[in-house]
Order: sequence, then structure tokens, then C-alpha cells
Amino acid sequence: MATSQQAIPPIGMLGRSVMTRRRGALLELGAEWFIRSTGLLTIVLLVGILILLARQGLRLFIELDYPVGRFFTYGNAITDNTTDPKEFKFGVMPPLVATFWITLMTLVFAIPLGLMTAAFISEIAHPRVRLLIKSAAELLAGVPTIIFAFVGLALVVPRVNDYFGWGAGGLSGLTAGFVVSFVAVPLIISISDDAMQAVPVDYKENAYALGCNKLQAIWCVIMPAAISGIAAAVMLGMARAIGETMIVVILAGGNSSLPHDPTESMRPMTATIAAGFGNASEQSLVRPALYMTGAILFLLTFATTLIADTILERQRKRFGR
Amino acid sequence: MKLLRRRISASIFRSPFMVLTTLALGTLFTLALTACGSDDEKSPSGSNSAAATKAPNVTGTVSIEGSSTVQPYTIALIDEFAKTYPDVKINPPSGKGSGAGITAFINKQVDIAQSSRAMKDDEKSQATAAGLTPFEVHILDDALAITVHPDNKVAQLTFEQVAKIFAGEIKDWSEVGGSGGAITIYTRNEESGSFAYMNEDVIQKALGKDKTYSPDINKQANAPAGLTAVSGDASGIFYAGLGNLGEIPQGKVKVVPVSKDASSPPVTPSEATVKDKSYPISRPLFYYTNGDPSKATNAGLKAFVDYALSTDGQKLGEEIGFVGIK
Repeated sequence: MATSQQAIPPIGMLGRSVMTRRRGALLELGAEWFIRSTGLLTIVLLVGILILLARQGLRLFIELDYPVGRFFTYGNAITDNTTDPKEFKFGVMPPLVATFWITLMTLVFAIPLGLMTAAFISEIAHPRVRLLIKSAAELLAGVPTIIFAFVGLALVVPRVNDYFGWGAGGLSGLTAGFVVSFVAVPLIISISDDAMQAVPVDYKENAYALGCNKLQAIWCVIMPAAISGIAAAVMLGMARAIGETMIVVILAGGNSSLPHDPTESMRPMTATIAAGFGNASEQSLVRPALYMTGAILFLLTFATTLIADTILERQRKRFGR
Repeated sequence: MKLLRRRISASIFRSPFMVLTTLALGTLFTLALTACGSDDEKSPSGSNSAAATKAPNVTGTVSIEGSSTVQPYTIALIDEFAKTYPDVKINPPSGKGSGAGITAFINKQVDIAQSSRAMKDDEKSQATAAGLTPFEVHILDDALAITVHPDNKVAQLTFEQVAKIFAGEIKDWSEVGGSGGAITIYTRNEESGSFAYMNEDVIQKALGKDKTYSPDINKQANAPAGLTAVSGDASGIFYAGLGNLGEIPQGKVKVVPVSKDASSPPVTPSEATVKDKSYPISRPLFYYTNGDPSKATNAGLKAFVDYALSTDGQKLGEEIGFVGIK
């Protein structure tokens, strides 16, 4: 504004230019607020989802008199459509434990595979190979999970059954976790590769100057330096595994009682919600129970992602990029 | 600059008008065309109404959800129904399960709940509370076939043995003359009518009201998933409706004959054995509607249920593997 007045244009044009400028400023202000509100929308959505889940879920204890203790300790999660709290046999512990086992199994397979691939493409591979593998991993991340489930059903389940006899004819938490790991791996590769790339080049040069070979440089210098980024990658992979639905519906086996080890057939939280929601009539106990399960699931993934983000932020600050 | 802006604004103001005009013209044109079209269709059917195969004056929208056992029948029925009643719009079911269908019915999301079990009292009171009067239409009969791996040596089971296996009281195939070691039980999940039917009309009927499924059952999302699981598991057992047996290649699973008790002969489920009631695990299939469909204001709904009960509809059910009720 100030500069336009200094230039002193002819009187008639001055008024008009100020007017258009004012209109432009108004437009800019409007646009800014619009963009700001879309940003805020994500927060509103997040809080809204949690409030909705909690409000619908807490009805179970407040209005419908289902004992809180029973909800957290009962050893089975049967999603029958009933309005009688005595008939309703639903505890959140079996699905929660099943989710824990499957997530653990996912990490057992995904961490070594993901980190080794990331170390290879970041430090060893030719840039062209790196690009190839990285784009292949990203394509893998885009494959619908139902496809993974079918591949798992055709290739993994019969082998687990024949060689180990685990679960229900090969359907088990371990089988599901193994297949889910292929969904988590691309995420882990991508983020830990970024983290290793972000390690300042003088770290690496110093390591080699001190006589490290590649393995020593990666294992003793680069990975420790990038550890927070790697941890974040693992956490995000974990959140992905906790929330995965289609694969576990098909491959985890569907036993709704408490699983004692990962080789058993089980039904995690996402699959329980998917299987039970058809029965969730407005008045039934299933509906709030599944909402409550959803709230717990949401908090779990929320916490994991939050931790991952905090760690990533720390890594960014550390190397100033 | 100014000129340009004015021109742009003018064209902006003008273009919706243009669009509207075009739209209006287009609509008129289409209306004229369809009017001609329906005239063409109506005249022949009006002229020989005695041999009319189409009933275009019956309209309405019918939504269905529910049992995956009834699913193949309803889908086939919709196809045939559409040939005679082209103007009734039917939203086909996805076959999520009887429980899912009844829930959708209670929540007023569908007009018909297809079910492989009778509505429970709890569900009936939920429906009444929602302002509905559930009306039961018995459409077909079905048997629940007991399926095992083709290599299993089990030759027959009694009704009570089936109940005990699913209740977890018989734990090993050797106890009933079968092979494969410890029994792996596959069931449908809680949305399924077969799941509830097995619990109430087999386990509780044979063993008492306080009994229920073993806690170690593997709940499968649908019948094909369970059949596939049994076809790959030498120790497995699963149940499926007669109409679902066609969903897996023949020879992949073995259907075990079931006897009423130890002194009766084992019976293989089939149309004949369901009809003469010699197969012990047979059950009715239902459509549930809000009030008597023959008095429904929705002409499409009335026509659809009538069609299911007609000779054509019943014959269609028998082609799929169910048993007609007439």
C-alpha cells in the first residue's frame, strides 16, 4: 500500500488501483481463512471421531448397564444381537490381545526386511537401483490389501498348515501378521531410507576414514545416527498393522476367544468390528460395544502415530533439515 | 484489462443461462422420446393382455438384505422377476447374514430381511419398539449340510454327535470314527443365521439350553470361506446351506450323512430327504417384511414376495438346491 502512494500515479488511476488492491487484500484474507479452516478441519474431524466413538461407546455402561469389569475382562468377544446385558458375552481383551499378537508378528517380519532393504538402497545400491526399489516399494504400498489377503490365502496358509500345523488349518495370527508385514514394509523402507539419507555426509566420511567397512559404517554409525527416524518408521508401520482389517478378517482364523500365543487362530479388534457390525441394531448392546472397541483402537493408532511424529520431529531438528 | 474482466463476467452471467436453456431443451427432448418409447411398449401389451408377460404398471422400490444362505436364491429371483416386472427397482442384498438383514430391517434400511432362521424374541421386540410389525413369509426349506475334508474317514454322525462336536464336547475325530486328529471347528460368524440356527436348534436342542458353541471355534466371514477352510484342513468341520454347496468345486469337501439318533439310518441331505423330513438338520428360510406383504402399499414389494411363492419362484429355488414348500 505504502509504495503505491509513493509512486504518485495520476489521480484517477490512484483511486482505482487502491480499490482493486483493497479487493485483492480482501480476497487474500478470505483465501487465507479458507485454507486455514481446511487445516483446522482435520483437527475437528479427529476430535469429532473420538467424541462420537466415546459417546456411542460409553452408552454401553451408562444407559445399558453392561458391567465395565466384564467389558474389560470377559474371555470371549461374541457379537450377538441382544439387548440383555446378561446374555451379552463380549469382552474387549481377546480382540485387544489378538491385535497385539498380530502387530508383534508383523514387526518381527517387517523390521529386519524393511531396515535391511532401506540400508541397502540408501548406502549400497547404485542410485538407479535405489530409485527402482523405492518406486517398487511405493507401488507395493498401493496394492489393495484384499489382494494381499488372497495371495496369503493361496500361498501362505497351505504352507503354514502343511509344515507347522498352526492355527485353524493354517489360519492364525502369525499367518496374518506375516502377510500384514508386506503392507508395513514399504512404509518402513521409505521413511528409514529418508532418515539414513538425512545423516550428514561427514559422519559417513569420518567412519570410512577411520577404516570402517560398509557394514560397520551402516551398523555402527549411520543407523545409530538415524535411529529416531528408523524408530518413527517402525511406529508408523505398527500403526498400519494395528489398523489393518481385510487381511486379518480373512487370514487370522476368526476365533473370538483369548489367544495365548500368536500361532493360534484369533480375531483382532478390526475384524471383530467388521464381523459384528451387521448385528449392531440401534437398541442392541453390540453397537456401543463395537463403538467402544473402535475408540480403543483409535486411541491405540493415534498414540502410536503421535509418538512416531514426535520422534521424527526430533530427528529433523537434530540434523537441521 | 477492464474490458476483459467485463467480458469474462458477462460470459459467466450468460453461461448458466445458456446451460439452463440447453438443459431445459434437453429434458424436453428426452421426455418426448421416453414418452414415445413407453407408448410403443404399452400398446402391444395392452392389446393382448391375456398373454401378458410384462407388468410395467407395477412400480416401487424394494431393498433386501440378509442371509448368505438365501442369497443365491434372491439374486436369481431378482433376475427372473425383472423380466416380468421391469419397472420395480430392486436393491439386491449383499448376503452379509441373517442377523445383519434383520438388523437392517429393524433399523428401517431395508423392506425385506432374508433369513435362514426365525427372528429371535429380542429382535422382535426391537422391531416393535422401532414401530414395525415383522411379518414372516416362509419361502423355502433348506438343510444344513455337515462338511468335512474329503480325506476324512468319518462315515456318518448322529444329530447328537454333531451337536457335541460344535459344543466342543467331542474333541477328536477318533471318537466318532473319523480321521484327522483333534477336530478344528469352523463356523460362520455372529451375523449368520446358520450360526444362530446351529446354536439354538442343534446344540441347545440336543444338549440343553445352557449349552452353546465351544469357545474354540473359528468364525468365517461367509460360507465360501468356511468351505475353502475345510477343503484345506484334514481335521476341519463346517456347516453350509444346500444352496452354498455349489459355491465350491465338487469333491473339495465331503458331505457327511447325519442320522436322527443312534438307531436311525444316516441320511444324506437332499431335496427328497428334506421334503420327507428324514434329514434331521433341515430348516425353513424366511423373508421378513413390515406387515403382511399382500396388503402392502408398495406394489413392488407385494409383487416380489408373490413371485417368490409362485410356481416359477419355487422352481427357481429348487434349481439352486433348496426345497420348495408347496
